[in-house]
Amino acid sequence: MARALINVPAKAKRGDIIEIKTLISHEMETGFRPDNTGKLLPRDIITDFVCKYNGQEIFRAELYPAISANPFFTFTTVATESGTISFEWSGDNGFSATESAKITVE
Amino acid sequence: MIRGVAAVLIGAALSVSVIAAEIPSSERKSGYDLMAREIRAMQDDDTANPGMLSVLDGEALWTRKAGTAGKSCADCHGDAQSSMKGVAARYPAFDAARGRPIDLEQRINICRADQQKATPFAFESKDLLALSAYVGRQSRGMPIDSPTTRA
Repeated sequence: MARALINVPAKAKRGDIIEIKTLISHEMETGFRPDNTGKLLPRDIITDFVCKYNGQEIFRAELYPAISANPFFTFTTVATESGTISFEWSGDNGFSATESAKITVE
Repeated sequence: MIRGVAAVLIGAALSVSVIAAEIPSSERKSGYDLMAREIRAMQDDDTANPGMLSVLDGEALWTRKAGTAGKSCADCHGDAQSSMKGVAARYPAFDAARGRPIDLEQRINICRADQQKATPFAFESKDLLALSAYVGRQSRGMPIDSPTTRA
Protein backbone atom coordinates (compact mmCIF):
# COMPACT_ATOMS: atom_id res chain seq x y z
CA MET A 1 0.00 0.00 0.00
CA ALA A 2 1.28 3.39 -0.88
CA ARG A 3 1.68 5.87 1.92
CA ALA A 4 1.08 9.52 1.25
CA LEU A 5 1.69 12.64 3.27
CA ILE A 6 -0.24 15.77 2.41
CA ASN A 7 -0.01 19.27 3.81
CA VAL A 8 -2.95 21.58 3.23
CA PRO A 9 -3.61 24.50 5.59
CA ALA A 10 -6.69 23.72 7.70
CA LYS A 11 -7.83 27.35 7.58
CA ALA A 12 -7.34 30.18 5.13
CA LYS A 13 -8.79 33.61 4.39
CA ARG A 14 -10.79 33.94 1.18
CA GLY A 15 -8.50 35.00 -1.64
CA ASP A 16 -5.33 33.85 0.15
CA ILE A 17 -2.72 31.98 -1.84
CA ILE A 18 -2.24 28.63 -0.12
CA GLU A 19 0.62 26.20 -0.56
CA ILE A 20 -0.16 22.51 -0.96
CA LYS A 21 2.49 19.82 -0.50
CA THR A 22 2.19 16.13 -1.24
CA LEU A 23 4.60 13.25 -0.86
CA ILE A 24 3.87 9.65 -1.79
CA SER A 25 5.90 6.49 -1.32
CA HIS A 26 6.68 4.80 -4.61
CA GLU A 27 9.72 3.00 -6.00
CA MET A 28 9.50 4.75 -9.40
CA GLU A 29 11.37 1.90 -11.09
CA THR A 30 12.55 3.38 -14.38
CA GLY A 31 12.58 0.27 -16.54
CA PHE A 32 16.19 0.99 -17.50
CA ARG A 33 17.90 -0.62 -14.51
CA PRO A 34 19.13 -4.22 -14.58
CA ASP A 35 18.77 -6.45 -11.54
CA ASN A 36 21.72 -8.45 -10.20
CA THR A 37 21.29 -11.08 -12.93
CA GLY A 38 21.48 -8.47 -15.68
CA LYS A 39 17.80 -8.63 -16.60
CA LEU A 40 16.01 -5.30 -16.91
CA LEU A 41 13.56 -4.56 -14.13
CA PRO A 42 10.18 -3.75 -15.66
CA ARG A 43 9.06 -0.14 -15.53
CA ASP A 44 6.85 0.64 -12.54
CA ILE A 45 6.17 4.34 -12.10
CA ILE A 46 3.40 6.72 -11.18
CA THR A 47 2.27 8.30 -14.46
CA ASP A 48 -0.38 10.80 -13.39
CA PHE A 49 -1.14 13.06 -10.48
CA VAL A 50 -4.33 15.09 -10.21
CA CYS A 51 -5.48 17.51 -7.52
CA LYS A 52 -9.10 18.64 -7.33
CA TYR A 53 -10.59 21.44 -5.23
CA ASN A 54 -14.25 20.64 -4.55
CA GLY A 55 -14.29 18.44 -7.64
CA GLN A 56 -12.66 21.00 -9.92
CA GLU A 57 -9.23 20.14 -11.24
CA ILE A 58 -6.62 22.68 -10.11
CA PHE A 59 -3.35 20.86 -10.73
CA ARG A 60 -2.25 17.97 -12.90
CA ALA A 61 1.14 16.43 -13.57
CA GLU A 62 2.38 13.72 -15.88
CA LEU A 63 5.31 11.75 -14.53
CA TYR A 64 8.13 10.07 -16.44
CA PRO A 65 10.87 7.59 -15.56
CA ALA A 66 13.41 10.30 -14.68
CA ILE A 67 11.34 11.38 -11.67
CA SER A 68 12.80 10.20 -8.38
CA ALA A 69 11.35 7.70 -5.96
CA ASN A 70 8.76 9.09 -3.52
CA PRO A 71 7.57 11.93 -5.80
CA PHE A 72 7.04 15.23 -3.98
CA PHE A 73 4.81 17.97 -5.38
CA THR A 74 4.31 21.44 -4.09
CA PHE A 75 2.05 23.98 -5.74
CA THR A 76 -0.18 26.89 -4.85
CA THR A 77 -3.80 27.78 -5.38
CA VAL A 78 -6.20 30.50 -4.27
CA ALA A 79 -8.47 29.65 -1.35
CA THR A 80 -11.92 30.35 -2.78
CA GLU A 81 -14.33 28.30 -0.67
CA SER A 82 -14.49 25.77 2.14
CA GLY A 83 -14.48 22.15 1.12
CA THR A 84 -12.33 19.23 0.19
CA ILE A 85 -9.07 19.10 -1.71
CA SER A 86 -8.59 15.62 -3.15
CA PHE A 87 -5.47 14.01 -4.59
CA GLU A 88 -5.17 11.07 -6.92
CA TRP A 89 -2.06 9.26 -8.11
CA SER A 90 -2.20 6.58 -10.77
CA GLY A 91 0.41 4.60 -12.60
CA ASP A 92 1.78 1.34 -13.97
CA ASN A 93 0.42 -2.06 -12.92
CA GLY A 94 -2.91 -0.53 -11.94
CA PHE A 95 -1.36 1.66 -9.25
CA SER A 96 -3.88 3.99 -7.69
CA ALA A 97 -3.91 6.01 -4.49
CA THR A 98 -6.18 8.73 -3.21
CA GLU A 99 -6.06 11.17 -0.33
CA SER A 100 -8.10 14.17 0.66
CA ALA A 101 -7.95 17.09 3.05
CA LYS A 102 -10.53 19.54 4.38
CA ILE A 103 -10.04 23.27 4.22
CA THR A 104 -12.09 25.98 5.91
CA VAL A 105 -12.14 29.33 4.14
CA GLU A 106 -13.32 32.34 6.11
CA MET B 1 60.40 28.12 7.72
CA ILE B 2 57.97 25.69 6.11
CA ARG B 3 58.80 23.14 8.78
CA GLY B 4 58.08 25.81 11.40
CA VAL B 5 54.66 26.54 9.87
CA ALA B 6 53.88 22.84 9.77
CA ALA B 7 54.84 22.47 13.41
CA VAL B 8 52.61 25.40 14.33
CA LEU B 9 49.72 23.86 12.35
CA ILE B 10 50.15 20.48 14.02
CA GLY B 11 50.30 22.23 17.38
CA ALA B 12 47.09 24.10 16.54
CA ALA B 13 45.40 20.89 15.39
CA LEU B 14 46.37 19.14 18.63
CA SER B 15 45.11 21.98 20.79
CA VAL B 16 41.83 22.02 18.80
CA SER B 17 41.32 18.29 19.40
CA VAL B 18 42.06 18.74 23.11
CA ILE B 19 39.53 21.58 23.32
CA ALA B 20 36.95 19.51 21.36
CA ALA B 21 37.20 16.73 23.91
CA GLU B 22 36.51 19.11 26.75
CA ILE B 23 33.27 20.81 25.65
CA PRO B 24 30.94 20.49 28.62
CA SER B 25 27.69 18.73 27.75
CA SER B 26 25.68 21.88 28.49
CA GLU B 27 27.52 23.73 25.72
CA ARG B 28 27.27 21.04 23.07
CA LYS B 29 25.14 21.94 20.10
CA SER B 30 23.17 19.96 17.60
CA GLY B 31 23.92 20.53 13.92
CA TYR B 32 20.38 21.88 13.83
CA ASP B 33 21.52 24.96 15.77
CA LEU B 34 23.93 25.83 12.98
CA MET B 35 21.38 25.53 10.17
CA ALA B 36 19.95 28.48 8.28
CA ARG B 37 16.31 29.37 8.80
CA GLU B 38 15.27 27.87 5.44
CA ILE B 39 17.02 24.54 6.11
CA ARG B 40 15.40 24.36 9.54
CA ALA B 41 11.99 24.97 7.99
CA MET B 42 12.58 22.07 5.59
CA GLN B 43 13.67 19.75 8.36
CA ASP B 44 10.75 20.73 10.59
CA ASP B 45 8.19 19.99 7.87
CA ASP B 46 7.29 16.33 8.34
CA THR B 47 5.05 16.31 5.28
CA ALA B 48 8.04 17.10 3.05
CA ASN B 49 10.34 14.49 4.57
CA PRO B 50 10.40 11.09 2.85
CA GLY B 51 11.75 9.57 6.07
CA MET B 52 8.29 10.06 7.54
CA LEU B 53 6.91 7.58 4.97
CA SER B 54 9.22 5.03 6.56
CA VAL B 55 7.99 6.02 10.02
CA LEU B 56 4.42 5.33 8.90
CA ASP B 57 5.49 1.91 7.57
CA GLY B 58 7.21 1.22 10.89
CA GLU B 59 4.07 2.16 12.80
CA ALA B 60 2.16 -0.50 10.85
CA LEU B 61 4.92 -3.08 11.38
CA TRP B 62 4.91 -2.39 15.12
CA THR B 63 1.46 -3.95 15.51
CA ARG B 64 1.84 -6.70 12.89
CA LYS B 65 2.21 -10.21 14.28
CA ALA B 66 5.23 -12.11 12.97
CA GLY B 67 7.10 -15.36 13.40
CA THR B 68 6.10 -18.70 14.92
CA ALA B 69 5.50 -17.01 18.30
CA GLY B 70 2.71 -15.01 16.59
CA LYS B 71 3.62 -11.86 18.49
CA SER B 72 3.91 -8.27 17.37
CA CYS B 73 6.29 -5.68 18.84
CA ALA B 74 3.28 -4.10 20.54
CA ASP B 75 2.37 -7.36 22.32
CA CYS B 76 5.48 -7.02 24.52
CA HIS B 77 6.33 -3.33 24.30
CA GLY B 78 2.83 -1.83 24.14
CA ASP B 79 2.49 1.72 22.91
CA ALA B 80 5.79 2.72 21.30
CA GLN B 81 5.16 6.39 22.11
CA SER B 82 5.79 5.67 25.79
CA SER B 83 7.77 2.42 25.79
CA MET B 84 10.28 3.44 23.12
CA LYS B 85 10.80 7.03 24.31
CA GLY B 86 14.53 7.62 24.67
CA VAL B 87 15.47 4.12 23.56
CA ALA B 88 17.11 5.10 20.28
CA ALA B 89 19.17 7.72 22.12
CA ARG B 90 20.84 4.92 24.10
CA TYR B 91 22.06 2.99 21.05
CA PRO B 92 24.56 1.75 19.98
CA ALA B 93 25.21 0.10 23.33
CA PHE B 94 27.40 -2.67 24.69
CA ASP B 95 25.51 -5.89 25.14
CA ALA B 96 27.09 -7.67 28.10
CA ALA B 97 25.36 -11.01 27.42
CA ARG B 98 26.70 -11.13 23.86
CA GLY B 99 30.00 -9.47 24.68
CA ARG B 100 29.79 -7.04 21.77
CA PRO B 101 28.33 -3.65 20.91
CA ILE B 102 24.96 -3.66 19.15
CA ASP B 103 23.10 -0.93 17.33
CA LEU B 104 19.37 -0.26 17.21
CA GLU B 105 18.84 -2.35 14.06
CA GLN B 106 20.64 -5.32 15.62
CA ARG B 107 18.60 -4.90 18.80
CA ILE B 108 15.37 -5.03 16.76
CA ASN B 109 16.58 -8.15 14.96
CA ILE B 110 17.57 -9.84 18.25
CA CYS B 111 14.04 -9.20 19.52
CA ARG B 112 12.67 -10.51 16.26
CA ALA B 113 14.67 -13.74 16.43
CA ASP B 114 14.36 -14.41 20.18
CA GLN B 115 10.87 -13.16 21.03
CA GLN B 116 8.93 -13.37 17.77
CA LYS B 117 10.79 -16.48 16.54
CA ALA B 118 10.88 -14.89 13.11
CA THR B 119 13.59 -14.61 10.47
CA PRO B 120 15.62 -11.46 11.17
CA PHE B 121 15.28 -8.66 8.65
CA ALA B 122 18.13 -8.20 6.18
CA PHE B 123 20.40 -5.31 7.14
CA GLU B 124 19.29 -2.08 5.39
CA SER B 125 16.06 -3.78 4.26
CA LYS B 126 12.97 -1.62 3.93
CA ASP B 127 11.21 -3.20 6.92
CA LEU B 128 14.21 -2.90 9.23
CA LEU B 129 14.74 0.73 8.24
CA ALA B 130 11.04 1.41 8.79
CA LEU B 131 10.98 -0.10 12.29
CA SER B 132 14.23 1.68 13.24
CA ALA B 133 12.84 4.97 11.94
CA TYR B 134 9.63 4.46 13.93
CA VAL B 135 11.52 3.59 17.14
CA GLY B 136 13.96 6.45 16.50
CA ARG B 137 11.03 8.87 16.02
CA GLN B 138 9.98 8.30 19.65
CA SER B 139 13.27 9.85 20.85
CA ARG B 140 13.01 12.92 18.67
CA GLY B 141 14.72 15.96 20.12
CA MET B 142 16.41 13.99 22.90
CA PRO B 143 20.19 14.20 23.22
CA ILE B 144 22.20 11.11 22.40
CA ASP B 145 23.05 9.40 25.66
CA SER B 146 26.80 9.00 25.98
CA PRO B 147 28.04 5.54 27.04
CA THR B 148 30.01 7.19 29.86
CA THR B 149 26.82 8.46 31.48
CA ARG B 150 25.11 5.09 31.37
CA ALA B 151 24.89 2.84 34.36
